[in-house]
Amino acid sequence: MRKSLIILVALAGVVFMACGGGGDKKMSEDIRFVTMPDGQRIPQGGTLIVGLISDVKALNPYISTTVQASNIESLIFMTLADINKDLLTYSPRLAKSWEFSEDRKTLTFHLRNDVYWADGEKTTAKDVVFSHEVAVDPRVAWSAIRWKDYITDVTAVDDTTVVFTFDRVYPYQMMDATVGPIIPEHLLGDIKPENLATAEYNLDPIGNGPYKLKSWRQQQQIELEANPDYYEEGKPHLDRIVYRIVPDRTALLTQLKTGEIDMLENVPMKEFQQLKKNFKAGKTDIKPYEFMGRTYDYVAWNTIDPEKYDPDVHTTVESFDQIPNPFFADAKIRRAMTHAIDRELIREAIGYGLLVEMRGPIAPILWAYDESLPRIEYDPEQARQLLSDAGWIDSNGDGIRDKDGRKFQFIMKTNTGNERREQACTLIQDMLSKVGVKMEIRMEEGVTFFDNLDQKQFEAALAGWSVGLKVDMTTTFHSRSVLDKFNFPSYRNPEFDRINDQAKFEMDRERAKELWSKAQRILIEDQPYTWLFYTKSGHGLHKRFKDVIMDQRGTYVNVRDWWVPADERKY
Amino acid sequence: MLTYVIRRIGVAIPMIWLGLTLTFFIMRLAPGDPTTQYINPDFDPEVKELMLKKFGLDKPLHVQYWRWLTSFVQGDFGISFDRSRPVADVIEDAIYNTLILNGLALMVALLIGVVLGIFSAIKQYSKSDDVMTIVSLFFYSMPRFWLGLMLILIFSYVLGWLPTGGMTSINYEYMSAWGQFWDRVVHLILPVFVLGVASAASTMRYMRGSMLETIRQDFIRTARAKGLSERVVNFKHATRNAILPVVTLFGLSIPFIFSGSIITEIVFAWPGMGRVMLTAIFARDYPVAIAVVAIIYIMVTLGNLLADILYAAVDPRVRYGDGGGGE
Repeated sequence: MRKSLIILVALAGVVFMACGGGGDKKMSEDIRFVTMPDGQRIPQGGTLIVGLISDVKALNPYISTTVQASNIESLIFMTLADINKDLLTYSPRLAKSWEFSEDRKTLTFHLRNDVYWADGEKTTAKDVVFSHEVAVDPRVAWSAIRWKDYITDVTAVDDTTVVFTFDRVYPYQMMDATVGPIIPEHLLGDIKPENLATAEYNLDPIGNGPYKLKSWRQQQQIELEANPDYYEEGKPHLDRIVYRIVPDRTALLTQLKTGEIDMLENVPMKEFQQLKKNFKAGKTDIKPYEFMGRTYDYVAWNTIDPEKYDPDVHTTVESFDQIPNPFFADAKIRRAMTHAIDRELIREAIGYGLLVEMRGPIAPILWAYDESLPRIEYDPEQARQLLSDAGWIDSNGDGIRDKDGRKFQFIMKTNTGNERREQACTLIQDMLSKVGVKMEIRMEEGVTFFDNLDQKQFEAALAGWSVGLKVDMTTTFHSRSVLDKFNFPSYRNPEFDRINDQAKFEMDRERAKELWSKAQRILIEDQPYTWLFYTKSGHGLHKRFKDVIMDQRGTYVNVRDWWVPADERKY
Repeated sequence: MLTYVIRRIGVAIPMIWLGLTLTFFIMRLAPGDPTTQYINPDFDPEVKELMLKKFGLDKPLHVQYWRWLTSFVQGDFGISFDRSRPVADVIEDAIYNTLILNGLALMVALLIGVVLGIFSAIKQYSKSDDVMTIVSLFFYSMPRFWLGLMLILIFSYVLGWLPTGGMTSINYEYMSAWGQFWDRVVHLILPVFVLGVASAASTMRYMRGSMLETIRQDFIRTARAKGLSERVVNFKHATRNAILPVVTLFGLSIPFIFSGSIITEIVFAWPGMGRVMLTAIFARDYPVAIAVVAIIYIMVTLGNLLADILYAAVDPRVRYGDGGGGE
């Protein structure tokens, strides 16, 4: 028995050396196998190489702010529990189990006893308490600090029991308690919160996740290696995950084709379509993964006059009273714009099959998504009618509608560097000209563009949102947010506010869904945005990686389960 | 000579200060701030205020300026907003990488440019001169990003001989010393070529012109008349004189060795100063951006100075007086 095993291992080694070719024998000479519960024997080892367009700024979940960084952090750190595909329920991670109290105001987590930080210290309830303290400290300025607003207290009962106390009952208590990974108190407890942003730790983090940081050469590559001390069932199959930073999109694509990188997230849509075709035809080994993403594009119509906007008067939400926009203050005009824009044509023309219809702000991936929402059809005739009814008629025959001596002519802004948005702008310009509206396009550099939105300095803007996992429209459409950063069209409707606030705390899911649909119907009627399209994500990954799942939760939801046949390994 | 250098530096310091002050205010007056990039509804507006406070950007502009200036003269460039670490660290890594790449490229450019320039001048109006003129014009006028992408396409994608970018391979840490050295060389070939060849083309045109001018001069004719061989005339007498203007060129290139070449660094994923500057500007990372600008200002000044000194060292006709004397 033992002899045959040796022969098998030796054979596997020979096969690998024959295929691998090159100087990396050191890494993969000994092939280990693990037998899965279903009897499948999976070889352990192998490297995944991912291409990134930019480096991350820190690997501390409470300091960094990008999706890129939190993806990597999700491999180095553990959260209390992992969200499931339905985006409503959870699977155990650091917490083995949890339960709500009778009145749902306290939530108790029972932690695993076999989780260690990479320096050997045990992860305990104290770390959970500490992580919460960091998350809610304003001096740390964590970007999701508001998620913890309703949590009044987090206490460690003993080493493996933590109790979260809430000041109200609402549907997202579990999400708010588990958002934000657990960080080590014994390494960070002595650092002043205001100094956390520049701590050495952020460049050399000690975590407790399935992978640990091996090396980080700034602006070049980040290398993770499997954590040998990770608890048994959660251990990953791949030995290494390497992120290569390649700041140019074309170069990234070339590297994917030459095999220098194994995976590229968000392959440009045109190339993704090509990739799908080629993969089907067996011309490439890069397998396309397509799933509902987390972003959508829209046109925001400013309801106030940007030229006359004065941020120094009426600085409270209650007294907010600015000069209305001559065009878009009127909901009828905004509806006319939507009628005039052929969104289906835009999706077909620039989407390469990756753009999905969207009627209201709730994303198709979320439980509250309602397929039966009314659709404002493409109907230029209706658009013309609405414009004429509002008094905008072409009185001098120059092809542009006017009213009281003012032409219907405005500027639509968008940010540079996004080809899809540039193309959408051009299409919209053409569509609007057909109903007698003249639109000019202005491209602005990213930071400038968003700053102008922030200052309400735009008439119409083509922009996009990244969708959160919570259903909530407060920051984007509530009157309360009119002075904040994200309700930049200054949309206000008391009826919407009322329903939104009610829906937020409705515990009965069916009832809540009805309320959210009602709120969306108001938005659709008012059209503060013209919703253009929801985007699917398209990632490319070499086909030698098996058992890969990618969905709306992210690219790495089950990275621990990915594996490579031993004879197909490159590194 | 020493007085001259001191005098030049004395003039340079207020100039650098003026330039940096202007840069400081222009950058602050540009729309947006380091937090503007976090355009996501989950990002709380209050967090923005907190972050601005953390960066010290909530203070009036003149206070910020004074703070920046006082720490700057003490050699403290501050903390990068975007990378959460001292600016000096960010720049230290990048400057080393840029020095390797641009330094090599400059050497290649000078070497090829000077040799081909001389050759092209000696063989004026010959076929090889024509070919070299056309080829140099071709490389000179070609956009670098396009050349870079074409070379990647040919040598990496089609032929698979060279890596598409980066400084090292994935498994660099596991290589032998010789393997590591070779890995570095392989990664340098394309970017050095792209950077070097364009400057080589211009150096060559420069050298050719200078050489042509020199070989028509009297002393060359005299040398020929004395019966010296063509080789000695061309390479000893003419070249030494013709190379003078090119030396100036070298001095003027120094700032670029440090400041990097943005496009080439991005196409080849080379983590140098050009990339640092570009990302800093886009992220409104003021401390890094202004530190890079400062380095460029100082290098331009020093480069000019060096060019003048070199010129004096190689051209016997130029002498800088020590106070009393003329030039």
